[in-house]
Amino acid sequence: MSANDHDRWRELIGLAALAPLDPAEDAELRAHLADCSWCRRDAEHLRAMAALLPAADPWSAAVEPDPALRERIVAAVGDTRRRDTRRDRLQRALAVAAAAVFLVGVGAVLNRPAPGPTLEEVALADVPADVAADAALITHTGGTELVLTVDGLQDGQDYVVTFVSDAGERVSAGTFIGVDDRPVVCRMNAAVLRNEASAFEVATPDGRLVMRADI
Amino acid sequence: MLGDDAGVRAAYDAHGAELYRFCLRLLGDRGAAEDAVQETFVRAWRAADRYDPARASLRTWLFAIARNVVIDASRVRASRPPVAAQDGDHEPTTQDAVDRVLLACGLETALREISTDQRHAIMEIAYRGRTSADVARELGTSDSTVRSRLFYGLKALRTTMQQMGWTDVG
Ligand SMILES: [Zn+2]
Repeated sequence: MSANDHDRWRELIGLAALAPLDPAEDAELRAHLADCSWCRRDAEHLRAMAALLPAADPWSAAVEPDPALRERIVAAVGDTRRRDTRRDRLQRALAVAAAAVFLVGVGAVLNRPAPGPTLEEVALADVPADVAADAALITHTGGTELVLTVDGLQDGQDYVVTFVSDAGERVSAGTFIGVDDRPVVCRMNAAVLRNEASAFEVATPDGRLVMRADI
Repeated sequence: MLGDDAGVRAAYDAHGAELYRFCLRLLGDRGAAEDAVQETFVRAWRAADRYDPARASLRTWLFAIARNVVIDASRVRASRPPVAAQDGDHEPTTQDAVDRVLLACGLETALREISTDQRHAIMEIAYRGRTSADVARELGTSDSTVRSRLFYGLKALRTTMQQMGWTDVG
């Protein structure tokens, strides 16, 4: 079997996949396929491929998306990447913070016959979209402690934490400085009893509210 | 791979337009299709650690995600009360319908990738139902040249489809 012969078989195989051959060519090809496993395999492959063709509309216009979509997607994935990274880092920081509180608790139990502190999880509101934060309270005999873990705040910016009592009195719990490349864990104490505290706020010194919680 | 902006741009440049056509055909609305493509890339980034380039091409993987995004989006649309639905009676898109469009988009992309001569032969004979002799006469070439283009065109189409992730092309 020469290469030239196979050119001839290929012409028949390609056409046969798409249209009926005339009887003479059909008989000729069948006879060859009975003998040649190579061509038999080609014929099967091309028939299977040709059978899919009706699924497509090859004249359908290749509609292009709005050119702005590209950068919109780059921005959306970038936002998600930053948010997810912050959430992951926050989870790790929280695990460390929880372990530290647990150790403090164990120490307290050993030193005096009082129950160790329990963390009271608090839901934060108004947290900016690119900030991840988590808050918990610890009730002390003489006041309330806030354990705030926060990631994504403005680097070098001062933040003021203020508790609000049931009576509307504002009690400072202190200030901390933001860092933007890792989560900060702040532990702040306010001279307001837990059962008299109704909210706390995190704000900039000029009064811009960053996040808050009703407790 | 989607780990930085350059990676997202590269993936979008390679597959964004085709993903968009796929979503547009199923959702029938440019805005919804754009949202679906965006959601596809966001989900892809979230699942990037589960992507194994040794097992699937980036295209296959993105289309698998887009398929789920479109099914989710069409469920949301179908569950809207009829008063709010302004785009007619949108049935929830079935997986069969999605897979048919997936195949159609894949074929149309593959047809654009093979050589112009081969595509022309396939279009005229497979889709327009002309004879190879007729096409040859029009091109001023031999019948056997046109038939040969059919053979190599179908082969190239099959290889392209396989590279795009289709395993059931014979
Ligand atoms: Zn042979």
